[in-house]
Amino acid sequence: MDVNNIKQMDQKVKWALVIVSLLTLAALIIAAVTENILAPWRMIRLGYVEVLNEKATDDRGRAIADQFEIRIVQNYLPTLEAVDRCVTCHPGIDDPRMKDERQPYKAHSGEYLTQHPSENYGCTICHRGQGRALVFEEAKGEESHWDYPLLPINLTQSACGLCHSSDEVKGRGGDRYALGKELFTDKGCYSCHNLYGVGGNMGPALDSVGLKIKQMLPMLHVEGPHTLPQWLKEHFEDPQKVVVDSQMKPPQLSDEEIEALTTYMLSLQQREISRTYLTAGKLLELYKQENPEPASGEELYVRYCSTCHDTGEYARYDKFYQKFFPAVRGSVYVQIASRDYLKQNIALGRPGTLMPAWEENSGGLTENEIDRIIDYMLDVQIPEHEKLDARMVQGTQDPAFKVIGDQARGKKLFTKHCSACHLSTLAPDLFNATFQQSATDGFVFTTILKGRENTPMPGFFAPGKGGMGPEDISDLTAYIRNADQAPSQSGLTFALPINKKD
Amino acid sequence: MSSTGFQLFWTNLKTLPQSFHHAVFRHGAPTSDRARSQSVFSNFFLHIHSARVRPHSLKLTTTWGLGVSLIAQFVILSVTGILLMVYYKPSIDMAYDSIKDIHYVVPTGRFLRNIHRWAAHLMVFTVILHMARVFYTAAYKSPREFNWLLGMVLFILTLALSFTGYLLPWDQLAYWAITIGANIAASPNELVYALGLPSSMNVGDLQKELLLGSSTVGQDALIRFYMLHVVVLPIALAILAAVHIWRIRKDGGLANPHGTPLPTGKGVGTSTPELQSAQSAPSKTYGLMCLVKDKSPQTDVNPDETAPSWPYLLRAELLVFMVMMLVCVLLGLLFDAPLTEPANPSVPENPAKAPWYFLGLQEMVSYSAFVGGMLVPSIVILGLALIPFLDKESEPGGVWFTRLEGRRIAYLSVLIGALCAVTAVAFPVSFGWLREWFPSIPQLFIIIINPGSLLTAAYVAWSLYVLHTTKSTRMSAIALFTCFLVGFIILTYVGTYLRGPNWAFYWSQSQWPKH
Repeated sequence: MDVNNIKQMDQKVKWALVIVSLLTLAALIIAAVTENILAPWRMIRLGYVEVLNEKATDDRGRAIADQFEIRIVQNYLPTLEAVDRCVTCHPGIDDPRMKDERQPYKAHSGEYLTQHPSENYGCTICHRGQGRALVFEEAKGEESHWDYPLLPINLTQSACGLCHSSDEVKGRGGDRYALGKELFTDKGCYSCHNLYGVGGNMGPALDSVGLKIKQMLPMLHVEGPHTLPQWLKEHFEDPQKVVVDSQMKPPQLSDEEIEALTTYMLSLQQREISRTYLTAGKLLELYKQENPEPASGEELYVRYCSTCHDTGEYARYDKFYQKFFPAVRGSVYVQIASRDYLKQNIALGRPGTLMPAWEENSGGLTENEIDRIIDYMLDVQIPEHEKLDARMVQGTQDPAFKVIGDQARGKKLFTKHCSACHLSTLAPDLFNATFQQSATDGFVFTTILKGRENTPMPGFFAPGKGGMGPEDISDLTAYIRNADQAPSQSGLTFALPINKKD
Repeated sequence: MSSTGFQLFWTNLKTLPQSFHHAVFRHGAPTSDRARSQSVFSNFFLHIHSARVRPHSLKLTTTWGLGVSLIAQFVILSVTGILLMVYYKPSIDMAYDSIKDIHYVVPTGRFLRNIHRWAAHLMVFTVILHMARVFYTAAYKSPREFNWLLGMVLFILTLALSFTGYLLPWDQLAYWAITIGANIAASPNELVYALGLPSSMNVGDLQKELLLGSSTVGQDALIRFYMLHVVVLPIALAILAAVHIWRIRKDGGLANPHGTPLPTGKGVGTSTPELQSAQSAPSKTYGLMCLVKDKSPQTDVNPDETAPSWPYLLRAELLVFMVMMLVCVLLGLLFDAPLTEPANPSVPENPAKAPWYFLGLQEMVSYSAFVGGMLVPSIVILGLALIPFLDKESEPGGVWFTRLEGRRIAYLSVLIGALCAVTAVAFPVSFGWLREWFPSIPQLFIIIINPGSLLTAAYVAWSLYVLHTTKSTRMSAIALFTCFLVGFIILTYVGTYLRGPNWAFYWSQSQWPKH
């Protein structure tokens, strides 16, 4: 490259320099303008000035219009961990004149804001979404990277329970939340789910289910948007569709109930809200949660037992779990089951079956509560013809009373008469540890003899008619009670036969 | 008397702007080449250039402006970085929110952060290109060995700057990328376990803890990454970059195909007095040059064979600078820097990926942590550092691939390097590896024999073969360097685009199993 070439090159460089510099300058100006002057929130606020001027019919209206500033407005609420800039683009939420205005200028619906001014409560505490964002799509936070996207409007009541008791909001704008909370108890959700330290263990504990983020949930089979509310909704509709190996029985809820329960689920946030926000009712509710008022045995039974055992007066075949749930309040049963037997079975559960342990460290029931449940269970009107004679009852209550018989013969009888049900998952496993530890010989003997009314378990006592005589029953009892020799099906019941859709 | 005094003062006052200008700019706008040369000498900022440069150095294809690009990126990063520092809060409770605020409410904050992010990626990318350029034009050869080493340190500093900056947004992307990066640092552990040595010898744990200040990524890691990112590393980089540039001049300007004619750096001045006395050159210049111990670029060259740095070199450099500026500004204008959900230690990203320039290593770590995290990086760094000392054939610098043969070998090496790298990835994906075939095989075998170590061995073997056939260390170096470069590109591509959850192979992200 000689000097002339260099000069030619330099000419090109000069021009390129001019062009590139101008382009850079242009890009910088574009950036400055789009970032600062044409920012979407600025446009929206400018639009609102026009709306204000239209609505300014009196001096006050004109003053509001004049004083309206084009700037970012935010509610900074450290106690709620919120920086909500939503009001920047929704300046009309607390202006009643904006009731029929288009979004984003529309006034907030209902009376909510009179009690909850946005300066004190912000927006995201109820609506979720990304409060710091100044672009609607990002504030919604569904497509952008945000853990808690804007809630569908029908689920906003989920926030009521953060500061209010359900009684307080019932009929005052929080019906959906209150209904959800009732349903949770009435539908027996506690049977399988633990909440505030009480409840079964078959399903996951739900204390903070309302703050689960989408990465924690299996979203593969969720058809709608991949959000927590949608997951909950579709899961309530069909648990096995969303979680393929879910053991949750489809709860059979109406659309309204699903909405209410979803609302309640979203309210479970295990989140410490500053005391200044909590109402007296909420404080009382929290106190009661820690120090529950004694519920009656019946209430407790409905809450924790009825999902599976229903009234307990008959054995219920459950298509979903493909097994019979024992009639725990049958008239023969309540006569021969000792308090101690019932207590052990409730407190320790039946390991390897669906029956969970309910003692304080597991299901969260106090000894006193279990006693009250037992009181309720035993409080059954027994028809005359099913009353057992006192001698028979006495034998069932006495652990020292031992039945003697030929175990080898008992085994044959067991295979012949019992194994079809009791070695399958249909009927309770008789070689279960809790059962063997808590049942007396008399209990087993009498059960074989009398059977259980309203269940598939017949009485086998029919001497001379091809049924069993007292000797046969003794042999059978001896075999069943010798647990060491007996097979156990406990292991089998872990793998629940559940009809999977696919 | 008094009136003269006032008059004098008045005159001085009137000429104040002019004298001030003179105090700063000693020369007026230079009108001749000679005056311009003088300006270059007297101006602190310009005197890093020699007064005159060879036309060869001005050609775009000699350097592609990569060094100046790096300076430009460093300047852009410093300016935007300092502005971001005003708003950023290095605490795990506030870092993420402060980034959100930079994005949403700081005037032009989003734009600044975008530029900073893209310029950082661009700088890592450019530093690799710059190294390749210097290598392929043999510009590392004597007397420039030391500058090559400086360049390597700058390369590592650049990666460290990018890596430390990666954590600062404290989002999921940052958290898990740094977690993976820290685990790569802990990879020597694999060898310790495989050899059954006591866990007290876990050098990897030590490295990881040194990096994070803790066993997991947390506040300790954030604050030390921040300190490194905004204080230690930029200062170190600025100082070393200054030395790096200064050495270019001291080593006789850019590498030149005509060579640097003086025998060694021992002499001063020139052995060709008739050229030295070229009339257009101010004698002071030569006085300065005479103090410079080494081959000096201009002393033996007739000024007519060189071009004045001002305006030709300066303008070309300014153009490169402005092009980089434009690129960064446009990227910042058009693309938002990523910011995912806030860091959540209980929700691991799957796949969790290190920053892109470490994905080649992560790919090899997936075969063997020790090989990917320790052995290969050590070989690469050591190998690069040794190049100028092992390849001492005296050949003209500044020529791409040195000669036609070099070009041929480079092409061939691209082919072989790519073939080996693709095989190294594709074979285990299709057929599994030792652990799948012999589940109980000791880990030590896998550490020794795995796609990563075999790939490295293949590359070394190929370069040894080239050494044998061409009998030239330069050709062998070209073969090895090219292979590693191609391997790096391919493994980085695989790690970035073809690896999905659990580091399984997918042709595209749309095939990833849905969560």
